[in-house]
Amino acid sequence: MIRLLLSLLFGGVTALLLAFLQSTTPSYAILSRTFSVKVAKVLRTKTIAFAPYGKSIERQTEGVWLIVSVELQSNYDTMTIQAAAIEGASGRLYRQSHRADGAPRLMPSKDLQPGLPTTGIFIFELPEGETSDMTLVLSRQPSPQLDSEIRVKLDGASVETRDRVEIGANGV
Amino acid sequence: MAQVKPGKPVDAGQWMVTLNSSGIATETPDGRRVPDGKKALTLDLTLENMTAESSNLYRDALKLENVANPPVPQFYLVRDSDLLWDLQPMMPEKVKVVWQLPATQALPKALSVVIVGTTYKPKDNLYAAPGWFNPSDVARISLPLSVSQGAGP
Amino acid sequence: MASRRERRFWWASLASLPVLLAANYAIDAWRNAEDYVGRNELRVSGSVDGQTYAKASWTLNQARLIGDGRDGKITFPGQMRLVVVRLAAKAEDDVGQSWTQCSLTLTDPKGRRWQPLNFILSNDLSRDLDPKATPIDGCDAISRQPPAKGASTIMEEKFVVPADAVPSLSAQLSFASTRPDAISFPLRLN
Repeated sequence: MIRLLLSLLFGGVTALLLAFLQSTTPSYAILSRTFSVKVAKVLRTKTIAFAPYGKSIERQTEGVWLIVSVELQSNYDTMTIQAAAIEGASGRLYRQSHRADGAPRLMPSKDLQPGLPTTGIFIFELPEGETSDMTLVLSRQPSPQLDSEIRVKLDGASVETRDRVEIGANGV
Repeated sequence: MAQVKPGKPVDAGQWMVTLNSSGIATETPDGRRVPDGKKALTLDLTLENMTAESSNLYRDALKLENVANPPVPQFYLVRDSDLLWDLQPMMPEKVKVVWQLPATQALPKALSVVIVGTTYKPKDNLYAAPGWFNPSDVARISLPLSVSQGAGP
Repeated sequence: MASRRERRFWWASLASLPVLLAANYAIDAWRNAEDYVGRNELRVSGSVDGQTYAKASWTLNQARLIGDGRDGKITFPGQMRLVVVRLAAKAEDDVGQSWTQCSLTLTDPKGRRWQPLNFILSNDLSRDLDPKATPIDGCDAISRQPPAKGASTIMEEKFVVPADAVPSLSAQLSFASTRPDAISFPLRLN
């Protein structure tokens, strides 16, 4: 009787241990770089200007505007980038700004096809102090999740600062 | 709940809210005329996102106490004279909040606005995810309601 | 002092706890596995003429490559190409619900997979390609109104792919009722 109970207990504990190990497997095992990002240019400015539908729009900020030009490529599957944000020096997350909606060449949230690189820009607004250490965070999900995001550290030395940036159809 | 003077910042957890003034207008802050038969009850405030990421969850931070059946308000970014979307962390902005009410609705001489605050929990009870919970009235502000604001055509 | 019987009962209950938890986990894992198998194409076989799949026999009706100027006037920038695939199906039996959750994708030997363009974009392109013809429905629409037993139908999907993938593309078809099995049709485009 005791032997039966003990073997039951042993078997059960082993199964539980395996279950625990399985559930805590970090999800980088699924990551396998499903898409790649190349940062072409980073601009910092106090004023952006663009003209959607012919109407001229100017946007100013107490902080700074950050315009990041990228080339994105999906490696294996048709996918979309659903979220883009800058993680600043403090660790706070600044999502793409809707104040720039309508600007030309904004990275669309439409399909990326495997093997076909797509270029576009992301526009962010953040306090000046946050720009000393920035990471671009792109995600396939609406809110960044570890197993579907890419983080690219932005090289502070190559950030170009201008007073004003006009965003035209041919880029910045 | 504290009674607070206009112009004094109130800590509402996710938001730092400063109510400045209120009025009635015939135009919304983006320059559009209010539809016939309606008037725009407008609140001028300064809003700052005190959280760690961009957010547009400011709607629940304000409650009108002495206005009957207020509709869902619209938020405008004064800087853009356009609708407000997300507010970025640690970047305070001047904001106007508009309730479109029937033109005939009687309004008090002083508007009573309650600021609702939430507290941060690093792990909630259901998903162990961080978030802001337990909304509670944090402060009441009384604002004189000046009539006949907003430029005519 | 608890009686011997009570103590044994207490130990048996304690011993059964891990067993019950493990069984719960196993059932959960089984359900997850079922779900995974139901949504993924794990076994792909080449289509065989005359073979019935999801209550119908299938053939590749047309595969068009557009964008390099050889088919029509439309050219696309750089490596971008449009591939239009048409599959013909003859219902060998009453199709019923066998065609729900249709998946028609393009694959290549590198393991890449292209999803079809959404139906709005696809219809716009149909009109650009052939302004006079009626656009042919995609997999989704056809699956909701499958042909009667003995009758045939055609479905069409459009894909945007890089030029270098074109020579080795296959169309891969599966339904909720057939997954994890899928059948594939080499497009033989060049």
